[in-house]
Amino acid sequence: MTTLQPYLFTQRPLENLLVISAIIFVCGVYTIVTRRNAVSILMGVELVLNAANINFVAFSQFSPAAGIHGSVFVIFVIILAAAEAAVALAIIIGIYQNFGRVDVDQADLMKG
Amino acid sequence: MSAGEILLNAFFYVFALVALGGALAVAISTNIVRSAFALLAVLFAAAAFYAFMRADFVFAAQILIYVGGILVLIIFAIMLTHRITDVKVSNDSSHGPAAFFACLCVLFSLVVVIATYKWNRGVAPTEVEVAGDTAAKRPPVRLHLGMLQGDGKTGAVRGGMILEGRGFLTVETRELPPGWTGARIQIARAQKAAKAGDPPPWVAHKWAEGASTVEARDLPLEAKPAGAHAASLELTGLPAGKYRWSVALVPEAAGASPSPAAGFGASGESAACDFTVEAGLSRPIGMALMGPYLLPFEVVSVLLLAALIGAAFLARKEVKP
Repeated sequence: MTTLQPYLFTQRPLENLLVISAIIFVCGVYTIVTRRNAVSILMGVELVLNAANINFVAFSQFSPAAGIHGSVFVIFVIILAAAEAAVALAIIIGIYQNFGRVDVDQADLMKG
Repeated sequence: MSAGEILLNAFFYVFALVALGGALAVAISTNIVRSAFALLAVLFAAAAFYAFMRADFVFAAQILIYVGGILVLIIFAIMLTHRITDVKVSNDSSHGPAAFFACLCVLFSLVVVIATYKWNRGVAPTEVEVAGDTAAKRPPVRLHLGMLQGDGKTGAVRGGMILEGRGFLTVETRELPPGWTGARIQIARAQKAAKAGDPPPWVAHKWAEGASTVEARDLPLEAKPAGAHAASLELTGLPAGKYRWSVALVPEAAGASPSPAAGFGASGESAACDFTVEAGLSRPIGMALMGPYLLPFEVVSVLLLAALIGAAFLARKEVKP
């Protein structure tokens, strides 16, 4: 316990949060790369955005003279994620109406 | 470690486990509904991290928009694009091992960077010069005034702003002439100006120090590497408001008065540094959105309108001619 103590959250909040957000980011990338279902891919994108948001707030709160900018940026990212989710889900439902499935490798009408 | 610190660590790692387990479940679960609910766990854990970082407004926005909006939208999409029978095994994946290896490499490099980079948590200083005194043969000294938030050793600096709660004022000097041993710290708080437009009058602020209240505090300047000397003062429970703190050097001779360089008002402002104590992030974020970020804010509102129209256009029923 005493050897771990300097690495705990209360001693090194920035590193702890960065490692956690790195793991969330990698899980999101894995989801995006491997899934066929379009809704799953969208969930992977949300994971990646959340990892980025945690980094933004962590740097904003725990690094010198960062001020408020990281937190403001996170508000913009959340808004853009909402807009992106609305449009992407509308597209997914359009794909479902045309193909009967939402697998991304089936929607290849625009393939040359 | 105090009991509060142990509790804080324990709660943080519980939420960290929730976040990591949820993210893994999103990535590898074969059931898409389970994936969606694992995403719910991740989003809540992220909100908890914002709370740990004292970012209250972001915490509320995360829960309202992500959990209340985006996640519900995703679950709707799952329900609309799957028959009840095929929801169970509907989340197939491909190229698993190769992607796993690639992601592992990315994670490894990220963690190595995080662990080895020396994150700058030094004091972001304001340099001020404390004037010398020719009669007493005191040379001028350059002082670095800064503020820390968190625990005094590793905590972070927030330029010009600390949140209500715990904060640290730090003084650092590169050169300390012989004969000076300590720093006297005083704090002034801005009062309401009598007339609008007038500069606010500064009034000495007394703060709690254990059981008593004090007006000034003498701190020994402790030797740091490379000849530097530093002192830091922990502040708790400062009410929200505008503050100015100033530093005077304390001579070695007992009973001697501190160097006159620091003080409040017109004479000593050069040795002082302003900071604000905020009750939370809501007010600074609101000021930022209506101030320097006004144009991006308006552009985002136009983009939201475009997304609204686009989504409605995409989801409408085809009208057969």
